[in-house]
Amino acid sequence: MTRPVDSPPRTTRGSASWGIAAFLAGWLVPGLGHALLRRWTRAAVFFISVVSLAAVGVWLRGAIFGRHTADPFEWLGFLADASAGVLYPVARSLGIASDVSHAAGDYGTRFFAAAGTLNLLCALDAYTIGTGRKK
Amino acid sequence: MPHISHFAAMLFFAAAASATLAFLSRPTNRERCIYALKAFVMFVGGAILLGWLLYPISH
Repeated sequence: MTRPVDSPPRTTRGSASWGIAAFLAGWLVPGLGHALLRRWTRAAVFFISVVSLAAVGVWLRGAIFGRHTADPFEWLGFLADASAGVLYPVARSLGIASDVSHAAGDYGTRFFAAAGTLNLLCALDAYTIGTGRKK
Repeated sequence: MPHISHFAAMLFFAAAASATLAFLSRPTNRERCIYALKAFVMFVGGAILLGWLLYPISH
């Protein structure tokens, strides 16, 4: 099968406002940007991938970086973590103390950062679809 | 302390990342499957190869 499997986008030509709305929605909730554009399959896959990576990251007691830090690497970690949208404040509010003295905790840190980074890529993809530059 | 093996963590990460990248970069299901499989094999195979290459350093 060679035809695209997702249904057509909501707008045929796309617009900057649709792109921005899709980006913000996709950044806040993984997959929501694509759901707004009726890309249901992509939305489901992105939601499951990003949320499962973030959930396992928290379960493994990875470090969730805050923005008040002088360490540039921790700042980069914060940017990656904050890219997970609403998952970031949820993870912070759970108040689970990180434990990176074990390998599992270190994996958790990377998993949550990867979830944020992938979510940012997904939100940018929703933006390009929303503006009509990608089908 | 929750426990997950190195290999299981690697498989989980590779599966999630490959599926996401496949859906981001390919338009059809067939292309997505091929891309995801290739990316998964490269993630896991690359990690195992790198592990063997670094093995002499730790011993």
